[in-house]
Amino acid sequence: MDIVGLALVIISFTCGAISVRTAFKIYKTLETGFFQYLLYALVGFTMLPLGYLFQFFITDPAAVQVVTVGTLFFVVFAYISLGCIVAAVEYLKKRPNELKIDLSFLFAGIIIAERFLPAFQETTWNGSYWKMTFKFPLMITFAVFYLYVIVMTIPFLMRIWKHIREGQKFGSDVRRLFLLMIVALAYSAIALMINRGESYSNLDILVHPQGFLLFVSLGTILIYYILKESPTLFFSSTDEIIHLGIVRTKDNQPLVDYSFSKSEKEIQSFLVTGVQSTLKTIFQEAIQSGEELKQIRTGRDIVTIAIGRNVTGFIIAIRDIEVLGPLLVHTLSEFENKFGHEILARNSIPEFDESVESIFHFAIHDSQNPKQKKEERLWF
Amino acid sequence: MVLNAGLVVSLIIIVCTIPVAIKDFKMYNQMRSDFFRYFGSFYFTLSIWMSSYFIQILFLDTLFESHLPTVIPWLLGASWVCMGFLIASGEFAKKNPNRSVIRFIFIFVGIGVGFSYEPSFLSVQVTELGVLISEGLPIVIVRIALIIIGVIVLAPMLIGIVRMLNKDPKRYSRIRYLFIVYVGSGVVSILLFMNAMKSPVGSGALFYASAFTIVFLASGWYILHKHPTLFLAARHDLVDLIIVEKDSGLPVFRYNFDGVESGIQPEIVTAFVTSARIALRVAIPTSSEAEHFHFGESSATMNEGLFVYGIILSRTSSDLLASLLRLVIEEFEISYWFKADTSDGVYEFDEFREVIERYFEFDLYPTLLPD
Repeated sequence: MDIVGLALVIISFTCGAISVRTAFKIYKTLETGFFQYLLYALVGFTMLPLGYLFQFFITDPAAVQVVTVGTLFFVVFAYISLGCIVAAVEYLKKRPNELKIDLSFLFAGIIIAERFLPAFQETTWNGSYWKMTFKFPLMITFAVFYLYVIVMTIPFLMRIWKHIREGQKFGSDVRRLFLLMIVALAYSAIALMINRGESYSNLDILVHPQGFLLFVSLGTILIYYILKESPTLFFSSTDEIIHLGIVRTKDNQPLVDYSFSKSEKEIQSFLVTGVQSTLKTIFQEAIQSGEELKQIRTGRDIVTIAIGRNVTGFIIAIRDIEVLGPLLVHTLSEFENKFGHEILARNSIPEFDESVESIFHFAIHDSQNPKQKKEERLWF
Repeated sequence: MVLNAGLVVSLIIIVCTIPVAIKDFKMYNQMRSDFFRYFGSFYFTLSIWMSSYFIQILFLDTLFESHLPTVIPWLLGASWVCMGFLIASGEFAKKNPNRSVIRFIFIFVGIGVGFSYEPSFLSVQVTELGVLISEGLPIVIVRIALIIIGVIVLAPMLIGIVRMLNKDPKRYSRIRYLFIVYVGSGVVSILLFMNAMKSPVGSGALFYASAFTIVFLASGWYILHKHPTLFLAARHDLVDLIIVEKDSGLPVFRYNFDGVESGIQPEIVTAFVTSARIALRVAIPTSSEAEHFHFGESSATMNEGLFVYGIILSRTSSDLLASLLRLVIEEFEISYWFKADTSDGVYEFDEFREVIERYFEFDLYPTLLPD
């Protein structure tokens, strides 16, 4: 029995479970395709360590079948998780490409099938740990699949890193966390690639299951910290969100007007919400629908609208960012909780600008946010 | 001689699938509906599957014959992917496609492909009459499971289309028979090909399957060419289409889809939409004309032409709707540009109703529902 290995399995599973819990809470608040598939991926990476229980519990070479099947049953989740990672990244785009996502699951299915074929791999006990060697066809499939996942995700990670590095918008702790997460993921990926090679390197640490699990644990706990510190980090964008307005529903009096873009001309908030209330009545009659106007799309902009108890809010962006709707609802809820008693009395509430900057800090220009601001953890 | 005939037949099938696939991808570019992309991919992978017959016949009794047991499983992998795309396209034809189901289907397809590379699960023997393929139990189980999933996903859509076509037998008699021929020949050819896979090409089993496949491909091409939205029938719950003359802001054409005249006159709807568009241009100076107003599932979609713009009101919306409206406006302006500045609000373009009924023919399903 490998005590260190078992401890690492427990640590790895616990780290994964913590990140799953956090991702689930965020998904409940910000219901977007990105968080949904990130949640599924984290579930998969949480299940993966359980497969290594067989490897660390059983050291009898005669029990090779039990070890192989037991490990593989849980390793399957990891391949599906990689498909979910590709899906999550696609859902950050304006128009997710369903075909790219489905191809990743196709590759995952091929690898799952081949991993269960005895002719494609061999498991042996080398006196220290269980060693899996893979035949050429399976190696080709691994290479194609991993390359596909890397090609789909690297541009996304680079884009996030570029936004993080720009100025002081994200604090140094978020930058360090993100870098560490990249290192952990890169190590896991390199270890996997070397592990798939015909001959093992002498760098035992890279292929030893304990080393692999250590970095999987690190990766998942870092994702937890990033989600906790800055869940909207992955939606980092500048110049894509233009304006946020909150208007008193009763008389269309603008209460909050926040401009994300310095060069933007003045937005007439009361006209936007006026359009909303006018069209609502007409179209409810024409379409026989009881729904509120939720979104206006022009050739250039997308206006997302949400209705609170006493206020109506809208946010203008130049592309459809999935997270904006739930964030706007959240913003209105925070606004009414903070200023509920003042909404009917005041004609302007500029002090809410700080809260807007906190909630939407991923979209703030550095010139608007020269000092590092800690993002308020407003959702859990 | 049988083998030579087989070579010709398999080549014909490959050649026939390609135009249908191209047509589908063109429809996707035009209408941006994932259904067409996946349906085109189905036809494309079908051609790869068929090429396994072409290649095995071509390389029998040649220097490359010994490589056939290695090459054929790779091509047969396309048969799995082909089924996956077909089932996924059926899911995308629905109003609210369940993407988790589609992911699951492709994992299953991948498992089928992976199993095909295991010699004990799929053995390929070269005989005088061609390649003999034996599938092991795991592959048979996965294939049956995929067929069951396919039936569960596709049957409701196909039955829905046939029921819709049966509502007005006189109007849709030709397309109804064509659709039944299309689906029937497709089902029979898939079953015959699955059976033919086990027999060498020279045994003749390929020919029976090929006959049905060619009928399937020909009818499919015709349906896509003449009635491209048939598969997406009743996806939308359309209410009204109004074409508005830009200068005056008055409606010049109106088509009511659901047969129920709402209490609101089109002139009032048009007036409010026009003023909303003007208000939005003032409110957001840097923006352009409004194109969509989304009320949850319902929407008002606008499309800007040169002299007119169109509004379509629907209880469920999609990008396909916007694409169809764009095509309608383009055709209206081509047909009536010289009359576009009519400003007396009289609807002069009743003959344009036929154009609407052509573009939206299968979205008129709600009007065919019994009272």
